Amino acid sequence: MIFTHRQLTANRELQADVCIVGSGAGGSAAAYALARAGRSVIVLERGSFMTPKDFDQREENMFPKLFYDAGGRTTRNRAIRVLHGHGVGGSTLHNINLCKRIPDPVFNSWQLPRFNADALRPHYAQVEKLLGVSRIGPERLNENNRRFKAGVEKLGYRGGFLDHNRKDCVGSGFCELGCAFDAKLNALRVLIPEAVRNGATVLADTRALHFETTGRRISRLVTQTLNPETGAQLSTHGITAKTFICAGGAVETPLLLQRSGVANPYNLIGSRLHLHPGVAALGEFEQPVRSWQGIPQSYECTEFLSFAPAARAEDEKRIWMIAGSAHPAGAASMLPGFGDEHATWMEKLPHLGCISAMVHDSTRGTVARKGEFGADLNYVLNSADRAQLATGLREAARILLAAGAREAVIPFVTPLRVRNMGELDRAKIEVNDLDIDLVAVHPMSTVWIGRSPKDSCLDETGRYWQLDNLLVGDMSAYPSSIGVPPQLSAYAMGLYAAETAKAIL
Amino acid sequence: MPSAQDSSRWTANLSRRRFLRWTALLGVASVTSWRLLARAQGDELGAFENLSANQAKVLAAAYQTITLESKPEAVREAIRFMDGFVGRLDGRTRFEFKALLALVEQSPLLFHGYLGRFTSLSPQARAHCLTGWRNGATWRRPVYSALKDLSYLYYYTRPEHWTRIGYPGPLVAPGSAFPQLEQRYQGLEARS
Repeated sequence: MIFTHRQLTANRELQADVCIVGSGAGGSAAAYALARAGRSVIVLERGSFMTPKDFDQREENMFPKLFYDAGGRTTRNRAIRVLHGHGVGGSTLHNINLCKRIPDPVFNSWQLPRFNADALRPHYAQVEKLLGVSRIGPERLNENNRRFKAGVEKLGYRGGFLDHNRKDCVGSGFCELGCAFDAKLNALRVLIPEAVRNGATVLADTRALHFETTGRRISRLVTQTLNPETGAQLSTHGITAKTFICAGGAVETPLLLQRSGVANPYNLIGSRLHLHPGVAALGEFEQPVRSWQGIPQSYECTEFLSFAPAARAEDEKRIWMIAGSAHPAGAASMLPGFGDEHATWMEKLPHLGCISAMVHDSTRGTVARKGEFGADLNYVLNSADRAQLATGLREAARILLAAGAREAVIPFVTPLRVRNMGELDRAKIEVNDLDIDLVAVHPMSTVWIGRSPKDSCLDETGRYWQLDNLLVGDMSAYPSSIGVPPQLSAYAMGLYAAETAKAIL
Repeated sequence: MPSAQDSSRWTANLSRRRFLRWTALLGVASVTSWRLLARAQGDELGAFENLSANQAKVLAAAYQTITLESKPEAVREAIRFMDGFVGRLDGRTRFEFKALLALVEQSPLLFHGYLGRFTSLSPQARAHCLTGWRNGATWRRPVYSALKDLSYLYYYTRPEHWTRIGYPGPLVAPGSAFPQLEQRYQGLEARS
């Protein structure tokens, strides 16, 4: 069953074979696999249990319900907004359903004998089947993606259609605010219900406070149920389990371990943060684009993305481009200026096409506690990633012009506006902190797998080196940036951790 | 009009002790009157759970400058929304946000060459200050971004502003539900 703040009003002591912290992609997949294998499972979720009726397609209502800090979380220097979600289903509630496996060269770069492409392959296959992953065809492209594709093809760039996990999608375009039409085949719709039907218990509105340890084992997890409206504490619970799986995502998982004071002899927890930061360029078209309508991201440009090692830094290609879309408040945040200047931009909104450029980042940051439950994300883009993002902006603008935009705009503090390829080629484009909005939605690799406890947090089974019954089953576990949307890999990691849990129970 | 002669006579009669006493009294009076004035003006916005009257007043001034909203009731509702937003931040971030508001209030004198607080400036002068936050040293830009993002998060989620920007709004009516979709989730949540 799913218990929410409505039921969790009294303190309790609970027991299970496995306790999973987090109900997003990784946590739901682990819960699904373990419950179906007959293990007793308790899943904790900081956010609320929401069903389609709760996704009202209003930004002001959904941001606080779906995102940590209501979507206002940033890196320490405020340069990058970091969006990551909560709610039963985690970030799969607000993501755009993109499904890509980690490319083999990324696995190979880790040089891990056991945690490799072969090990993950069956888990990817299982997830793809469970979630009905299928390719978005040309007939489903919305106007924004159609123009993006036209620009990519006109320039002779490499592009292609994307795979998604959606069914009976009506193309409302509100994916990032949760699906009121329940067309996402995600953790909420597929895996959590199946886990519950197999006996799993989900505690929603419940925060994991800290682990208690005895020797090399976690003996108990202390939790707190909160009123989601007021934040008031309603009850506290203690959970004992044979095995614990952290799956709260690459920000919350290291924070929980840090709050718990678990053994961390090489001070690695929370280091090696990767984010996939992204920027966006806009194009003003004669005819309406209405980028908020239809499936938001269904086509990609991979002309500037290569996973093969490059001999020189300037030869690297680490930019992935997709169409971007936003509803009014999100768009308003990105458009330049304020007052009359901004109002003029907003009036053009239906005519604005948008392309996002995301970097497969080499920058490494850290996650640390900020106050009791806040996150201090110290992440400063290195020069190589800045150069990649500058390339991404230039090429996004080029694609928009090739697609027929009468003007391409790079929304720097002082916007750069170009009307033709000549102006674009002459323009100086640099990415500096706080000159342009940067957004990241893929935090990862903060409690990662490696070959030695001196340079990693987990062994190759996903088990924490210093604790025998603690596993990690989310994006924290990957050793580097993966360069593709992480949804599928988070589910696969949850299944991988479940395999380990079954073996050690 | 008092003459210079009157003034010098008055000054000559002022002993050091009396000067100190008058200065102290004036200082207390000015601080008290400013606080009372600020409270009186802040109170026009109503009481809030997370924001003080002064903080609400700074936010209201920024909101009006950024969105050009002129209706007092609309501004009040905006600040009420922002108050709820601030309440959802973790304690440390909430503290930082409030410190930011205090800095904005004092910023005209500190950074922009105005004799007065942000809330006491004309709309043009406030816009000049915000432009300074936007274009100034890098560390100042997050202040501008925070005020802008929060302002527009409210302003552009109000249906009355959607027609002008050609946005049709949600496809689902408030409070509506599709029973056949909800059925999938029936029985999952425990009974109270």
